[in-house]
Amino acid sequence: MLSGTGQAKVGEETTRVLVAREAVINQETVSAITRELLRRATVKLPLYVKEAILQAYERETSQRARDQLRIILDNISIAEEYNLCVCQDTGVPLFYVKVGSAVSVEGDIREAIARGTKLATEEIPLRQNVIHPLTKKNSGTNTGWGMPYVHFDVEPDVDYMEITVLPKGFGSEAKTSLLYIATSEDIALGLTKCVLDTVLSALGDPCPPYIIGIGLGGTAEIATWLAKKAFLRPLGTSSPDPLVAKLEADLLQAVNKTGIGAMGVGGSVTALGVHIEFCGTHTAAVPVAISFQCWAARSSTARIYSNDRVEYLTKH
Amino acid sequence: MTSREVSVPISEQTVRSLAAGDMVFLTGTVYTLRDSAYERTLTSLREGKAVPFSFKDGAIWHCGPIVRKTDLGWQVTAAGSTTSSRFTQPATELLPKLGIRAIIGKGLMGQGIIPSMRKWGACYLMTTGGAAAYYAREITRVVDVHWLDLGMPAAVWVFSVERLGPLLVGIDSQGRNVFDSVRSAAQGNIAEVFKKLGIDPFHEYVWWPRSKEKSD
Repeated sequence: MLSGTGQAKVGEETTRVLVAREAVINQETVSAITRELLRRATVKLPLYVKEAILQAYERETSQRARDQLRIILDNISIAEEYNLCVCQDTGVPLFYVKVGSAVSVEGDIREAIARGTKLATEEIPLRQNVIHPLTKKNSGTNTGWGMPYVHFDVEPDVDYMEITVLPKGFGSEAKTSLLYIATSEDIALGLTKCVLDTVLSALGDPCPPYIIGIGLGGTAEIATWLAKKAFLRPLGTSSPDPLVAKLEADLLQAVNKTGIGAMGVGGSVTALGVHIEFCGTHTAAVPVAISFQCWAARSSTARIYSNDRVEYLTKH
Repeated sequence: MTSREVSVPISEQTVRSLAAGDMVFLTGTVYTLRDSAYERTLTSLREGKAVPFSFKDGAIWHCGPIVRKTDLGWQVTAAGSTTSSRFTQPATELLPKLGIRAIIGKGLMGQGIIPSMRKWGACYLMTTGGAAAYYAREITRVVDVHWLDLGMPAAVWVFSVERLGPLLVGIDSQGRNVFDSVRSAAQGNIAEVFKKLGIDPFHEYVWWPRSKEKSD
């Protein structure tokens, strides 16, 4: 509970009174931030992604792959200069919201995020991607039937709400695998085999140079969500667990040894990073989700504090 | 590698002169075609109904653009390719039926399309996936749109393009393609990694899903 100064209107007279109130985040603010985050994410890639692609271009030796990377870099610059979407597949709108236990949000967060998504779809504009899964009817707004989908977390003892948007394109999304490795096997070796088999069968389809996100453990839905959450970790960082960090580095090296290269035309940079997130699991088997994020690794995060102050965390 | 200027309509002679690995810049009219529009085209043809466009000696593009309606008409803000591998089957059926000479897309197309390309005389041209702001500049005009009821991405957009490219000839009319060498090199490289790490490529680490060979 925080104390604040409120405005009380008494007849014609407005007096400032001191009221005790809970830290409340305004629904309108949530909509406005959603709209701005979608704009930032779909037009400009995070700085670390741009740097990683530039480094890939600099160290690539195959001319055919360098041509692909050159076009990707030019495309990124054109999108920024003319305020255009960096990729025509602006994805499905996925959100990850962390709500601090010391704040409350007025109204329905999902509804506020949906409103911001509708506005962004019309204004930027985004491609109208969201359809009904059976009738294929397109809502035209990127909302409806549970979209935008919001994953929630609670952060103890903080007075802000953090919103991350992850617009997920389907060229890479539709290459996700979910498998169970038997615990009678060596998990690291089994995982390495699964990753390389998946990389080989996907070749250039998920738009390399990509990021591989791996969810290890938990249950099916935990593993697939962790694989996606792994994309939110900036490139160049590794798992805080040394054993997992080593596996990430070894897998990155192995994937880049395949020679698949940018857009699958043959080259030395296939992946920009391999990120693993893990969770405890059952003694019988280890669920493994392997997910791809294309080079257009779009995301953006903002924090909204209880006084509606906003801090944008992602550098674009 | 050679760089070629190609205009639409594309003659059989022109398409047969392109070789896998060549770079192409395409000028003329292209039609976007994907997802439900493939389904509707095939259904119409099977039922003997006419479709409101002709692809004869033309180029189709696996593309779902972002298009804005302005006072001056439709304006394309982003246009890039969608993954072509999922259209191998419908494209194989459509190629000879509609006389398509070039399919523009990204990533792989399945081996299944090769006999049809070889027989009829057609090629697969690869764009750089996701480079939508880049290619949007090469679209000079939106000529028309069909089947907008399928939604913005799946509608059939008719674009006038000026030097769309560079496009890499992924599969040529003789069936040669740029993926076979990449795939076989990758298989060899992966075998080396497995050997180094002591992974038996035939060993089953995975419990589920069952491999096709496993019967239990």
